[in-house]
Amino acid sequence: MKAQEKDIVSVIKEQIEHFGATATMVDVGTVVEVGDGVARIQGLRKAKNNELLAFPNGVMGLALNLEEDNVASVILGDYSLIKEGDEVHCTGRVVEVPVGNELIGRVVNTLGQPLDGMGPIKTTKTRPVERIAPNVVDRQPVNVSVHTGIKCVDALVPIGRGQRELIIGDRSIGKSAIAIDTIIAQKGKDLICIYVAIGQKTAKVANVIEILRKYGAMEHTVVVVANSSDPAAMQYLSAYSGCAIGEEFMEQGKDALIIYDDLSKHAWAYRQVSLILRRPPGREAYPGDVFYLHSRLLERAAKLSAELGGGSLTALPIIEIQASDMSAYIPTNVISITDGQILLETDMFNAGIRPALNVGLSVSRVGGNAQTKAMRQVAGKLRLDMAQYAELATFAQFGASDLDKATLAQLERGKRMTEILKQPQYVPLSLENEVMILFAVTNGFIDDVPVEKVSAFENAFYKFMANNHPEIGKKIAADKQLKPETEAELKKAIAEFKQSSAY
Amino acid sequence: MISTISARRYAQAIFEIAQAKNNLDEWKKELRRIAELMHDRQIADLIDNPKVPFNLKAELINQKLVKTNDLVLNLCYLLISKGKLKNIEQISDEYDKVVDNFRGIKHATVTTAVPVNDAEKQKIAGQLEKITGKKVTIKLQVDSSILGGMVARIEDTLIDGSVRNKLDLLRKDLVEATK
Repeated sequence: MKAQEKDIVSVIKEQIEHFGATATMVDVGTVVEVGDGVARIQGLRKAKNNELLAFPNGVMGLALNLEEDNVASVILGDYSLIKEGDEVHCTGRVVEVPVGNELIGRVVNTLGQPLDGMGPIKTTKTRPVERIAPNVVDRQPVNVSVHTGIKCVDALVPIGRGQRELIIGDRSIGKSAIAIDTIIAQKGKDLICIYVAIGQKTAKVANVIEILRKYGAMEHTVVVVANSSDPAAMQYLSAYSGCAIGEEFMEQGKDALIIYDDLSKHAWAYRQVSLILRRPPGREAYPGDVFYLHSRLLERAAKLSAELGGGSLTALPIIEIQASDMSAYIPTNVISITDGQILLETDMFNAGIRPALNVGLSVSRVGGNAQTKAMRQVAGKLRLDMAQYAELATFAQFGASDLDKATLAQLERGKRMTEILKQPQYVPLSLENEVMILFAVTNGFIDDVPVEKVSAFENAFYKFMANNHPEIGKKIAADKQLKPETEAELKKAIAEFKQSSAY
Repeated sequence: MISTISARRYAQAIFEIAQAKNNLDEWKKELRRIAELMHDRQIADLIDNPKVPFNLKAELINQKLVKTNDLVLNLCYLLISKGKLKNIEQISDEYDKVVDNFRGIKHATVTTAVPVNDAEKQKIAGQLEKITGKKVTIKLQVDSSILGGMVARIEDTLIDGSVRNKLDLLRKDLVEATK
């Protein structure tokens, strides 16, 4: 309270000293038409593209279409307060969001205003929402991994810091779950997470925030929310403001992870704005610049060069598809922009394989370089084995009775691998646990465990290793690779565990 | 919205003809005259009626606009055939703007809280001419709600030196400070 009084005093003092000294000179226009969150303004001849406009009653707008004698603007806020004939002023500013460490642990809207009822956010810095992505010389190759704590992702589609990896799949088959597990896995680590909820159901967003709180993940997370009830312009801008918040951490030399959940709805919001602005519709009624809409957003994810602090911003955009149709407009666009995709499939989800990751079609174009050596040592064989298993499994559907021994062994191994790659929600694993269990399965130590007991084996194995041989896990975590002597110790420990048959 | 753009195109064309013939003011007067003619509801309705043949409309205009030059009549015929004679008012306004722009004249609306006398008006005009670098003609308005000072609006530019605006800014600063 004391500080506030001082501020007011200083403002009044300044005003007394300078009152009446200046006249303001601004560009003005008149609202001629308003509706659907868009206002058409006559005049404003000097307005610039993306400039912030001031309407009466403190409502702000964003100049988008500059035409010969009018400007079309989307309204950021309550457009029912605006009426025909209102005077609109140029401000000479662009849309900005508050950024900084103060935002961590908070839930904010597109403009950075708090939504969580935890009081004002005392940030000292703002950043423009739109920005050109870092250029070639400002970047360096992706070389550090993001540990997601999900076995199949870390082993098969590794994600590097600064990478853009798409999560794609039908509705409710665990796209957000992968993102949320990744956030939870960062607990106590150095990766700051930003979760941008675009056009989602408010109840679902509340649920996500609740889960993050429950698992203590809000301590390193910023949530940016533009619900489906918010104006389309706010939904469209929210992705960029989330990105600006992330860029601030990146430029501080820190590592940040941003999740856009989801970009399909982002494209819908932009389509709505564009159609109301009377921009010509193209394929699926999206405007012509819908590719640029996403490419300029995702390009802002980067790994900065050492001279710029070496910070990174990793992007995990989510795309929802209809009836597994990956060849729709927005999915193909975003697939081509990103550095790989995690494809989730309904059939696998229904068969109980969760996460329902399609091993064949999911790829990571850069993450392999960033994968820790230990993981590369065990995962290299896994992908090949999984591919062979998938091929044989379709073949063996018609009767496995007269197959040769080697084929049967491969099929059995494949079943166990599939079983191992299953993972319940909200239990991200540590790197050493992932490496040890994958080592066990790819080297055939689980071949003699009945398929239905694999999951019990896995859980008991983690417990056994933590209690009886914690040093092996520590060595893997420290070395980031499987040294021959560690490997020998691990083999011995697995044999010991199987002897005890504690599962 | 669309019609102002088309009105501007017509006005520009008329201006170019008038400039070539060096009779800018004559055209200005004639356009006003046609606009006034169209204020007559009966004439406007007749011109607007698609059932009335072109010849009849042309003759009517010809009779009403006695003693005018052929080009003005041609403009009327053109506008009748395009069905745009009803926009003549806008065309006339746009033409005035084009001519003013050509002559370097700007129109300003100056609002003050109390009436100003001629000497003050001259001073204000002089100041505005200094700011814009063009000749300024002033239209005066009195609005006590601005409390003091003055507000000048030149086309799209608003120069606000009113006490009301300063109080609004003060309020904004205070709200910002308490946030």
